[in-house]
Order: sequence, then C-alpha cells, then structure tokens
Amino acid sequence: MTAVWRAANLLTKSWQDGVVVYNLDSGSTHLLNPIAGQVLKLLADAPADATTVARRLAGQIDLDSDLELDYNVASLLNHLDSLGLIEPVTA
Amino acid sequence: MKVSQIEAGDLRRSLSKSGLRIRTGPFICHVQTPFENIADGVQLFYKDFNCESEGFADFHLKLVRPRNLHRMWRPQVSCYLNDDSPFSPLPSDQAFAVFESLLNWSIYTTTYNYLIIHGASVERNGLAAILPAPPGSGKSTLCAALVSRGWRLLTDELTLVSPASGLISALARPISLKNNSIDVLQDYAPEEVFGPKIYNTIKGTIAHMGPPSDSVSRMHEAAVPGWLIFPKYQAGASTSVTPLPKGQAFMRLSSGLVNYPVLGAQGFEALTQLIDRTDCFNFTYSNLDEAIAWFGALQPPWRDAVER
Amino acid sequence: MKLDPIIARALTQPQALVELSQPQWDRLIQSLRRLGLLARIQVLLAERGLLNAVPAQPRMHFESARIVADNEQRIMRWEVNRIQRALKALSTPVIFLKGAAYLIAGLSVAKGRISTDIDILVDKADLPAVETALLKHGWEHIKVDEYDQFYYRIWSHELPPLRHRERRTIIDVHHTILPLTGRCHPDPKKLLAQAITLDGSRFKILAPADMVLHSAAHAFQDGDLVRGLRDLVDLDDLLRHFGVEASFWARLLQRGQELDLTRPLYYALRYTNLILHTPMPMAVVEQARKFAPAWLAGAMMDRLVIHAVNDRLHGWRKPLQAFSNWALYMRQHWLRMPPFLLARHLIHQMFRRQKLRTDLG
Repeated sequence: MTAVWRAANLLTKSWQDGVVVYNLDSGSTHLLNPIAGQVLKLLADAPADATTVARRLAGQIDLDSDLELDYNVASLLNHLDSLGLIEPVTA
Repeated sequence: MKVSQIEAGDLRRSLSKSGLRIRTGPFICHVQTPFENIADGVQLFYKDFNCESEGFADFHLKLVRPRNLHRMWRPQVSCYLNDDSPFSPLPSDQAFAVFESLLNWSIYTTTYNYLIIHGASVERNGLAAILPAPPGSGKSTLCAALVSRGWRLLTDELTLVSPASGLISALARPISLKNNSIDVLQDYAPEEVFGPKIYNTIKGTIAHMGPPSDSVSRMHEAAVPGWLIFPKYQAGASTSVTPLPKGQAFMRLSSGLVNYPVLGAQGFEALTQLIDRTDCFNFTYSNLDEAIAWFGALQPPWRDAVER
Repeated sequence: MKLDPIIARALTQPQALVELSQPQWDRLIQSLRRLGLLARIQVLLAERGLLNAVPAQPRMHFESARIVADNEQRIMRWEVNRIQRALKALSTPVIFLKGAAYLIAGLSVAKGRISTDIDILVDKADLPAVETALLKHGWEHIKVDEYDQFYYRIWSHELPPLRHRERRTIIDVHHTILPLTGRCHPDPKKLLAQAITLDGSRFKILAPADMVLHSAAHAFQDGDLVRGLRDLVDLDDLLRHFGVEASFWARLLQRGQELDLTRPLYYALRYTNLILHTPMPMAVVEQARKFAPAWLAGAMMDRLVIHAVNDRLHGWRKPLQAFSNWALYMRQHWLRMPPFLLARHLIHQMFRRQKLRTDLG
C-alpha cells in the first residue's frame, strides 16, 4: 500500500530559477528546482500518492509517463519527506 | 542639540558622568565612558548627530577601566551593555573601536522588528544599493568610495529593512576601514574625515571615515531598495558583473541575514519582497574608479508587471 | 515583601503603565529584559489593546521581544511534533512537562515564555526504550564527562540531557520530577496515573493540581532560584487559571500531601499571594499554614526570595545579593544531595570549571 502524501504548512515564492519554500512549522527554508517546486505545488493543491503525482506532473510539463518518471518522482517524494516539506497522510 | 554644540571639555565630562544619549536612526544610544579617545571619536564622527536629553534610551553602553592588575602596565577597556559584558577587556587604545563594535552588538542582539542584513547600503536619486558582506568582500572600501563620490551613506555595517514598509532605515554612522583600505581611501578621498589608525585589533589595523553631514542630516529619510549587489574585491581583477538569479539571491541573502531564523514567516515574506523589487548582481572589482562608474550607470530595477 | 513598584504594576495592572514617564520606561524596559519578562508584558498589553498607548521608543522593545517569544514557541511546537514522531512506535505513556505542556494545552501561562528545552516524564522501566528511540531519531548525549553521566543516571531524576544533532534543541527525559537525592519524593506512578490526555493519544500532560505542584517544586526546591520572579509569574498564572474552579483548591492541598510536596506548596501559595497578590480562598491559606517551616527557616526563606525576585534590578550586583545567591545555590545543592556527597560534587565542579578556564586561556 503506497503512502498518500500531503504538503506541510508552507509559504512559497516562485522565480525563474526555482521555488523558495518556508516551512511554517519547522522554520526551515529551502530552494527547490522548478520541477521539485511543481511537485510540491501539486501536493499542496491535493494530497496524492506517488503514481498520481507522476501522472499529473507528466501532464503539466509534457513528459512521457513511464517507469523512470515514476521512480524519479518516488525518490523526490522521499527526499521532500526527509526535509520535512511533505508528510504521509496516514501517520 | 547637536554634539558639535557641546564644548569639548563639557563633552568629556558629560560622557564620564551621566553619559550622552545619541540618536542614530531609529535608536537612542546612551553611552557612559571616561575614555578620552572615545570622547574624541564622538566629537569627530558624531558631531552632526542629535543628543537627546534625559529620558529613554534603547541601549545603555558603559566602557570603563576594569579593576584588574592589567591597569598597572597595560591599560584596558571593559564594556557593558545593559550591565552584561559581552566582550573580554581589550587594550584601551582600541576603546573607540570597541564602542562602535558594542553599539553594533547592541543592535544585532535586541532588534527583531527589522530585518538586519550584515552589509552596507548607500542611496542616490531615491534608490538604494545594498551590499551584503561576507568577510573579505571589500564592502566597506566600496561603501566609503561611493559615499565620497556623492552617494548618501545609509549604513556601513547593519542594513535595517522594515518588514512592514520594505524600506531601509539609515544609521549614518562612521565607516570602519581595515588594513590596506585605509591608505587606499585616504588616497582616493583625501577630503573626507578620517580618524586615527587603531593598531592590533583582532581585525588588524582599523580607522574610521566620518559620515558626510548630508547623510547625517537625512538620517530619518527611509530609502527604497533598488539593487542587491554582492561585492567581491579581487586584486588585479577587471570590473565584472553577473546578474544573480533571484532564487539564488534569496538563499545567499538569507544566510547574511542575522536575525532571519527568528523572524519566521514575516522574515520570509519581507525577504521575498525585497528580492522581488531589486535587481541582483555578483560584482567583482579591483579599480575603484571603474566600480564607481558602474554604480553611477545603474538603471532603476525592471519591475515585472505580471504577477509571477 | 515588596517588589519594585513599577515591575509590580507591569505584572498586575498593565493598564497603569501608560502613565509612566520616559525615565521610568527606560528603567522598566531594562528591568523586564533582565527578568526575561518583556514578551510576557507585551502580551498583557496587546490583549488589553494598550500597545498603541506605549510611547514608540519603548514599544519597539516589546515588539522585538514578542517576535523572539513567538519564534521560541514555534520551535517548541515543532520539537513536540518531532518527539511524538520519534516515540510513535513505543507503547509507553509519555507526559510532557512544564513549557511544552503549557503550550500543548493552550494555557495562558505559555504566553510570552522564552524557553525551548523540552522535559518529558516516563516510567523508569521505559527509560531504555525511550532513550534508544530518541538516539535513533537524531538526538545525542551532551554531557560526556564520565562523572556527570554517572551522577545523572544514579543520583538524579533524569537521563543526561539529549541534544538533537541538527536542530541543537535539548530534551530532558525524567523518571521522577525531583532528584532521587533530594528530601521530597513524589511518587511518579501517582503522577502518571492522574495524567490527562488531550487527544486520545499516549502523550499526556499532568493534571492541574499536579502541574502546579511540579512548578512549585522546581521554583522552590530544584531548578534555578535565580529565576525567582519568572517562576512566581508562572505559578500566579496557573493558580489564577485553575483556581476559578472551586474544587481545584481542595484537590491541590490533597495532592500536595499525597505527593509529599507540602513545603513547596506552602512557599508557592505564600509568595504568589504576598508578592503578586494571587487570589486564593482564606480557608486554603489557613490550611496551608501547617505546612510552613520552622519560623527561622521561614524568615530566611523570606529574605532569600525577596532578594531573588528583586535580583539584578539595580544594575551592579550588591554584596548582599551576591551572598544571597550563594546561599540559595548552596541550599539548592544541599536539597539535591546528601551532605556527604555534596562536598565531593562541589569539589569536582570546581575543578571542572578551573580546567575549563585554563583550556580557554
């Protein structure tokens, strides 16, 4: 059973070279590349599991949906979790 | 009443007895000290500053002779901020430099209603350039040179940005120059006011350059930020400028923002607004004339009309 | 038993502060900063809509202090979140104490507090599991000196403090609320039995009477008496908050006896009433009298307390206050350790401090 993720309590600001993110709970600040920023925005809009995120992302940035994308997205989500920027909903 | 209106003898006496309350930007600094070299420094560099009468002061600074054995052969200065002593005693000939450091320390450690950027800022034609300053960046040299060529001095060390208005509040205090910069500036701007060299400080040799009277008299005019310029002095380098992407500018600036972690969400919002409204650059230089010319040719930042 | 009148006004009648002169504001801001009460007074003024009546210059200091306090609270809330996450897999009950408890429970005493250390209480048998879980999630030991490790584990009431590797925040894990070497021995099992849970989880806080008694025990028996006024302010707030309910007071007296904390309870009631005018039923005052110390010890304590709450208000420390602080320090350690252990402990601390000074040059 794959985890459903949601974004933490965040403030964000997007610029051309990336998205700066402030975590209102932990107080940490991060600079994410545009793709990671896009993933975070997707989860902020609606909690989802890794597969759903990959599909939505593929649609938005015009990429092929394939296993490699799924794998990359799953890794990214783990990384975002370790940074405290997202959390599993079934905690 | 201005400091210059106090007669020299009275100034020394006031400083050692009840102290003097000097207004610098948003702050009133109450200083008490028997040291003549501090009195001389105040008279020289703070002559155009206003003194407040008895009343409220934001910081209470005391610089005194410590009662230890050192005073027999090597006089020292001990300093106190609101009765706590943040630094160890230092040789008394450094007393004026210690006073300046103590005042910086006071602002850093108690002020959270402003963003405090460690760096200089100067203003011309209604727009300010902020020069954030890691060590070795040469920001004071650049700041002093700009000021000598007509830019208004807002601050040399602590740039205060109001989260509410986004504007910079000026302190207009003396500029602190180190080692080689002292001779460089005395050559470059001989008409400016320089204090005596202070030797063997932890930063090497220090001397101060006085703030122009105009900068002091306009101390209460807040300034609109226009440019964020990360300076780097590199001997022999030609003047080179690279635009800095905003995300990177944000991360670099937040690490030079002394109180950013404490300000939380408000700090984040204020910082994103600051980055949004300014043009950001990396700036490498070695020749002051070229550097000044480049600054003089700066265009107002391009404001993106479309909400990003 | 007199507190500096302007400080007293700030704490008990903040609306009267708007009459202060500039020099009085000057003295007040300095004092409140030294006492760690700037943020607390800002909250009192803000709640009464009085901030705009404060002159601009002193108002800046209140603003800054409030920003710092809000940040400390955010840090503490996040720590609680991370600790709950780290201990999630265990089945042991965990009680949050002091500042963390006040914050989680949304108590008014939490307002303007500026501490980020977290204290939790667990059953002694669960200590190893809790320690392991915390170490696994990024906490590490800080007191590395073998004697200190030994002292903490054998004689004290807590594990040596743990610090988180990245966040640098501290957690103290207790299995009793007072040191084993002390005079009073409140049974932790009784505390655990009465602890209340806020959201149905294993994470709890102490029951109201126990919370007050714990605060009193630390203000007057353990902890740092030099924080005197701040501790009294906490106690005053807790008593006012819980004391609204009539049954609280009887419970407080009863629990004080059950937990062997009658002496700190007596001091708490006496000094909050005298210094901060905390309201309490006369009957409670009467009954608490039987927990008073012998009159000489009581008179000593009166002097020590009034010096502690007025300490550092007058700039340069006076010799008498220095003596008082030393006497309080000695008393604190005397209460903590039996006399034969005390001398050895103090000598060891002296040597460590000496060594530290030499190392730093």
